[in-house]
Amino acid sequence: MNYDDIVRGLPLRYPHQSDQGPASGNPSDEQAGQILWDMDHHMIPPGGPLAVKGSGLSRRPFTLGNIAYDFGGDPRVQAFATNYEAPTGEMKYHEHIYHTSAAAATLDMAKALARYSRPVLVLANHAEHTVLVAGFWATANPLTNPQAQISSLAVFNPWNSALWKQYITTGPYQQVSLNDWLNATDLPAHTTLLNLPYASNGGLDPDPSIGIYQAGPGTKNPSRTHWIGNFVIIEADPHAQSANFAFDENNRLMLQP
Amino acid sequence: MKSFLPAITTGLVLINSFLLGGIASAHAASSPERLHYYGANLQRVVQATGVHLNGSVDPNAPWPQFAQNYCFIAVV
Repeated sequence: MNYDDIVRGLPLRYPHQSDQGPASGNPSDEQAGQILWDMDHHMIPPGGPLAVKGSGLSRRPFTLGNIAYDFGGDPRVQAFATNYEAPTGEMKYHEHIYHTSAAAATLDMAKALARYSRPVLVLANHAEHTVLVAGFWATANPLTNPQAQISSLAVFNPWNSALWKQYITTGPYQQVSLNDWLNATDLPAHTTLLNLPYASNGGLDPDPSIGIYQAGPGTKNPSRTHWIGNFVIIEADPHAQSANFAFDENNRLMLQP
Repeated sequence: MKSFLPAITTGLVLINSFLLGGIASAHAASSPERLHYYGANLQRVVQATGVHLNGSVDPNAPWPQFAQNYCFIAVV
């Protein structure tokens, strides 16, 4: 991660937008060294890649590092990429899946931010987007003070609001009140932050189709869900397992959806 | 990593306060309380993304996302 490079005093390995992938958004145009290329070549999940359906912009899965037929990068590949692209020896990130509530997920996220001083990635607007939360403002440290009250959060949104209009936040950085974070339903472009849990969004963001977390119709766990219906946050933690694994709200390793 | 503590002005605000234990409830702060920042160093996040806290973005910076259909912020 660029952040880790900065902390270590190293030059950024991804200093430009073009390091992400092709401007066209078409994976056929990707080039070696771009993050999308890495996802397609170096982050194939166990049992993968998924059999590709469609091509170009409509390729599903969009990255071959996905475990789901997601229209973009799914939580697994985002967590895996965070570790893959980080400097050697850096602390791992994992998916943390909260089966509780937005409030409980936010509290745990805040504790992780306070404990590790590293950004987290939040699947926002019922998983249509991902934002980075760098930290939060509170009356005290929730790690040490049970009376601590969170006031607002430092939210970085990768969406190019200058070109594509506002989406979720008013710009690429916004200090968001806790109330808006949890409750607002009328954010720019009629969106939410953590008001709603992960959703399939009409099939754009389905649950995994391969691996131990596969869930939903046609999988080994047809009556279960993995991400859908829950709150998903990619956080730093002390777990040594690979980023193929997810943890629940009690920090327990998940071995099934 | 150090925490970045920006100047914060607080006042009598109506917030949906967050209490430990996962209970969220409407709460009017009865008195101004000093707020503290916890988390990643904000100036380093600014460097990592090219996004400034006033909302401006450096040209040809790591952010924003390059295409609408993907946002690989994980590695930024």
